[in-house]
Amino acid sequence: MPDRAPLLRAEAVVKHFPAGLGATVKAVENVSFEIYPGETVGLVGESGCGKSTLGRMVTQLLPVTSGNIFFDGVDLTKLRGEKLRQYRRQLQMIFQDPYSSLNPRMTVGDIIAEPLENFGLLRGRGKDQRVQELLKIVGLNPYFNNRYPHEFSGGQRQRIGIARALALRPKLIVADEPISALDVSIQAQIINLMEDLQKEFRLTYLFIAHDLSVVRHISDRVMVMYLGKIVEVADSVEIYRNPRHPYTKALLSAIPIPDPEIQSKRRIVALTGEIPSPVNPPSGCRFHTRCPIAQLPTPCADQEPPLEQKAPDHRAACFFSEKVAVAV
Amino acid sequence: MTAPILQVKDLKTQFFTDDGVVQAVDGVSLDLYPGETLGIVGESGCGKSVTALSILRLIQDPGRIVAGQILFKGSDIVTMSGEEVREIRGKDIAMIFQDPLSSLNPVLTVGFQIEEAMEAHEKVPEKVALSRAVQLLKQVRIPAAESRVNDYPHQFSGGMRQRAMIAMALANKPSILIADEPTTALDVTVQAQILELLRDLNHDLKTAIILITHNMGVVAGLCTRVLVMYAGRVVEQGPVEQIFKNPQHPYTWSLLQSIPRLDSDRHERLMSIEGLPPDLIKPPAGCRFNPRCRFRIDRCFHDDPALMDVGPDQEAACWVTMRRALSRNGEQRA
Repeated sequence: MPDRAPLLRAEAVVKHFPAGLGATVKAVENVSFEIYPGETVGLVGESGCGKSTLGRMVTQLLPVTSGNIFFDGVDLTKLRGEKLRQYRRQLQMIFQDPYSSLNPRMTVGDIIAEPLENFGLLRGRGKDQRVQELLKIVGLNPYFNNRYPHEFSGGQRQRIGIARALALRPKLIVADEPISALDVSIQAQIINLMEDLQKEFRLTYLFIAHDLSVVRHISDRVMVMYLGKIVEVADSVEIYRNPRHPYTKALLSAIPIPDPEIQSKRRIVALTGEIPSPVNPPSGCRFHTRCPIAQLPTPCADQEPPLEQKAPDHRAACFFSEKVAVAV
Repeated sequence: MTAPILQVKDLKTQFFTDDGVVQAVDGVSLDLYPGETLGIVGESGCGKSVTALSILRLIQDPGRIVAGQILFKGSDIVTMSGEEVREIRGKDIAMIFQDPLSSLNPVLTVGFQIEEAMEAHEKVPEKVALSRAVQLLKQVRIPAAESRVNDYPHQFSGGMRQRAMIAMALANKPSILIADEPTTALDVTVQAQILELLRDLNHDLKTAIILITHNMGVVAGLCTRVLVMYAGRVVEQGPVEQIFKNPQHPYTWSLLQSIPRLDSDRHERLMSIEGLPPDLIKPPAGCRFNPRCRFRIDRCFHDDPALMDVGPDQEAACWVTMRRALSRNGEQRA
């Protein structure tokens, strides 16, 4: 994949939030990655790891504290006002909660048309036709455009959110936990829809979720985050077969597989303790306080392992990544 | 085989709303044996939580148990006096919920709340109560239990709060623990720890567990028997290995096919169940799953199937069953 130019490149992105009394929440710390045109990159991690913050910086809903985000070669963090707005057309977002992300007082037609109006793209009949076309694309009845969000189920609302995201024909869609509020039987409908749309419109996805089995299914590559850092990036089949970071291995082992025979034979990598506070992250490798193979204090507690190539298309931030397969 | 410790027979719980009568639980029966782990799976609104709340008579207005029996050690919880139910609730049958933060009182220490749970059922001297609370926190593996017993809920993480809830539920050594989505609000690594704790408690204390969840993987890891619910009914039940390997109801089968699995081929397209669960004020005639079923036959539209034997110890409420559905498809292909 590196032979092509990336659609999006994040370079040393940092996000700090003030937390009162001079304290700082280090939500995202020095993160770099690329997303290539047409691929789906999964971003996983547990609550508070910074994955949503990172997603919001990619779409520029949140400004970076430092670092750069290049989209099609242009640094979005340097753009302001109208210029940024024009780029935003190409970057859309789908949110987790289909209940709070749609305005309850607007009709579905108006919700989907709003981005078109914001950019003055279509008016009158042309706009109505585009709205109906978008409803059809996401598998809803095109004549539902006069209904309100409360008349739809959770899965249908998520389809409306997807139609709105598609309205401006974006290149990149950041989907932040798009299925975790939905019932199991509906989740598959939305995943399949997103896969179909990707093929049809050559979309590129950044798919953020806490569920590694869903992420692995939809993604070409997976990035794992822990406490504001990317700890591993690899092809989605490879990362499952051959994790090179002890945290990834623990995360994978904790996901229940719906098969009692397999489940009874699996060994869970138990992590000790809790996720430390991002206000005061551990020194060196941020995972060292919970890591089953950490060598303390040196090097794990006093040096930060770089995110480096461990195998073709496989990077991990661990001094002892070769031990992960046997010792974790 | 020993006698079941809990028997639910043809339970019907309905909610009398302005829009009509919601048939939330419509004829559910189940047997729970001592020391067993029983899973109840299904999607939102299928009646799994209402079944659990009915067992403890915790259904509130406008809901009511309208028919059926809930036999605990032979006596019927449905017809008991409020006083008698309170005796059982929290003592013989305890329950933990999805959201431990809203189940704990924020202005009382965790220790106080555990002691309170004990004192609801027996007089315990202050000192004994405290040392038992510490003991219980140790049992659920809270580190530094001696000092943590004086903490307030907000000082605990999500996983620790759920552990504290479990400690509280165990305070009176119940013979049944009902866990309603106990890990849904937790991160996966914490979920794994809580499930392991429940497994150990079941093993060491022989507490029977009813685990209510939407997550098939969680059931596979903890339960020996499973009930699959859809639209207020049990559509399939049996031993876990059997149900996962050989599901006979099209709903169970489709549900298992629709989950992306960590160990499956990534590019396989997910099987999705089209449509939505039905409105339980006006459920469809015949089999309630028929509008979404890809294997339905004419009979399914008007004739409501009851649970029928489909294998050793396995029952499904389906006129077709997957065995026939799949061989029928095979014939078509041939």
